[in-house]
Amino acid sequence: MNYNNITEMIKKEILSVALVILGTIIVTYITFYNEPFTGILRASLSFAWLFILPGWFITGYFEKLTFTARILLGIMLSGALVGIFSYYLGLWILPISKQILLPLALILLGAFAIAARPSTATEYQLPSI
Amino acid sequence: MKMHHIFLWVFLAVLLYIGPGTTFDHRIAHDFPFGLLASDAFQHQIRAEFIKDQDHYRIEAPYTVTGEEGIIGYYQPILYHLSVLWHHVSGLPVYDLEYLVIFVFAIISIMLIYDLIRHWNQNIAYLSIPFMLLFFSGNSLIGFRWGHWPAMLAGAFLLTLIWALPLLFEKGGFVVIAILMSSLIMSHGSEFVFGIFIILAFVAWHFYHSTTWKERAGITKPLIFAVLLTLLIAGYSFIILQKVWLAAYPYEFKFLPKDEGFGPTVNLLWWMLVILFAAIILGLTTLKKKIPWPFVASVAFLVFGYLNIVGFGVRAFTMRFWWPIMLSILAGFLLYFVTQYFTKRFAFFSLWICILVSGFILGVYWNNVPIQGLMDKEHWDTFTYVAQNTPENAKVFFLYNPLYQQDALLRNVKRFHVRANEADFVGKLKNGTVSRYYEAKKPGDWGPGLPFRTGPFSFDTRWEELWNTRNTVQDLCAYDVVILDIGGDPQLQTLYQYQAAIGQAMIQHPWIQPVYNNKANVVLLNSKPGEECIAEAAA
Repeated sequence: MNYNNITEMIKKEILSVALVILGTIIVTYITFYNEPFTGILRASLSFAWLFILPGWFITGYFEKLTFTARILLGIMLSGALVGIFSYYLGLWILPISKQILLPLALILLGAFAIAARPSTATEYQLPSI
Repeated sequence: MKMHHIFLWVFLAVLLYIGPGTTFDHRIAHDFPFGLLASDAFQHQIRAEFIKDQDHYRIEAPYTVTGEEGIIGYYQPILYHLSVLWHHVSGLPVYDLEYLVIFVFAIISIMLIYDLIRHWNQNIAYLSIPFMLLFFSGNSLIGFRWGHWPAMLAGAFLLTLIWALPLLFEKGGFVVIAILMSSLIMSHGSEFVFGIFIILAFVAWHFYHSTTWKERAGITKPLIFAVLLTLLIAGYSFIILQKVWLAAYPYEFKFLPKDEGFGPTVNLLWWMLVILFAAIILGLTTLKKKIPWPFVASVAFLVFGYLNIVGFGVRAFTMRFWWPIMLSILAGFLLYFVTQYFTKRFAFFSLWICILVSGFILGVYWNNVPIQGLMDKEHWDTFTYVAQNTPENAKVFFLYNPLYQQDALLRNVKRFHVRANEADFVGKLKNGTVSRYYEAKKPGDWGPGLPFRTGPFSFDTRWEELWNTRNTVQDLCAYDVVILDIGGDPQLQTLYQYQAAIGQAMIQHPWIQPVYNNKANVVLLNSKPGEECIAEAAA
């Protein structure tokens, strides 16, 4: 397991993700201009929590994808996984109203996959004597 | 930020504006379910509402299935869970978020298709965009407004699958495919079938492109893993899909040349088909061995939309809603071929064409406007009052209103209910008879026949014993709550006066009290159901 993968990804992309969330707020504000700003914030930030952030981590495993592709694919995968896990959890284990932290579980799942990702860099070889 | 990123944000903003922004009158939260134009839309709206109320989806709400208890939660669940969970996180109304979810996911999937085309050819991607904008116009909007919601969400996952299939060749990519195939099973089953067809098309394309059999066989292992993982993730839902839905609606060959009974769908005029075939022939002859996957997927979607003539019935018509997106690939390719002399010589030529043609299409063809829909504030307030202020086992009688023909919206009282049938009610109105007996319909979602579980993998249905009880003569006095319509539509004054007369007759009895009223309705509460409440008389 290489936990450096996770920290490197976060360091490299956290600003971009923050800009994506800020961009989401802005386009939501432009689109829904009759909505009070508190409603804009609630919709955008909750969207980020449920779909953007988990999606960012879930797709972190695929280094070759562009950041844009990862965000878009991540939103869809996060939607799928949130819906699927919410359904099963709700059936047997945890009422839906208590599942607000489900995205955190998906983030941790994504982080685990990133850490377990096989290294593509060649390792330093000690010179043979 | 690169130019391309700015372009993507502009594209996103335009899609949001012309789609959900306009549909919702540029608000997110509304005082009542806004923009729903058919019973099916309310079917999904109220299902999410019930799942929110009970905090799980083990069973259907009894008030949605004609009062029957223990009917399993049989609909594909993803849409409802996304809406309810988003409500819990944001505090915004479930009915608004459910509608917004399908729009947003559709838009994200459209951007993925743009990304897919872009990796083939940036110029073709730009030239496809104007046609994509037609998605939020005309009959494509029917998918949203008339309540094909689970199918639209599943369509978005299907488009994502098209984007993601090349990931099968990446380590771990099969997991993505499995998640998406599971999402198809658990959002709308018929799109799962089209997902299988898309995978077959992808395999065929891979075989065509490969030069050795070893290369061809390379897709086998990840596909097998994807299938196994899909069964693991979605197995529970797949059993319900197979044993409940397919049992109620088995595949049968049905030649269905027109969209009868389905409602409007997207249709291609003959000259559009000529242009698309020209694009296909051009592509096959010029691209040859280098035919890219987006091109193949576009042709596949054209075929999907015509599968109504070989037995896929109305499911083919649902695929047509996505034609503006998927067929834009062929249209963009053709436009690129025609303009490539200029495209190759002038930087941003295709981008300028994109902007100009998009402006033309938005100016001339885009026709989305905010429409309030079937619900209004007064009726919503009435239904909410009943839902919040009457006992859970209260029975509700709706007198006649043409609006109530789209009877799924009545489920918002969250109580067992019946509604007076038009012929009998209007007949008595014309006779001037105020009666305690009216023929009434027991509305409900009969779907796959009111299934209930008899074992871990077995189900039975109740529709055979209950189907004939849908329309019966009902005793108004036996109901705990009677809802009268007294105003709203100037053309229904006679109807309102008749219902007012019924109400007047009822409140002569002290155990019947008006407990709520607004401009549209009066709610009468009957504390002695069964006692005589109306003597037959002239109105």
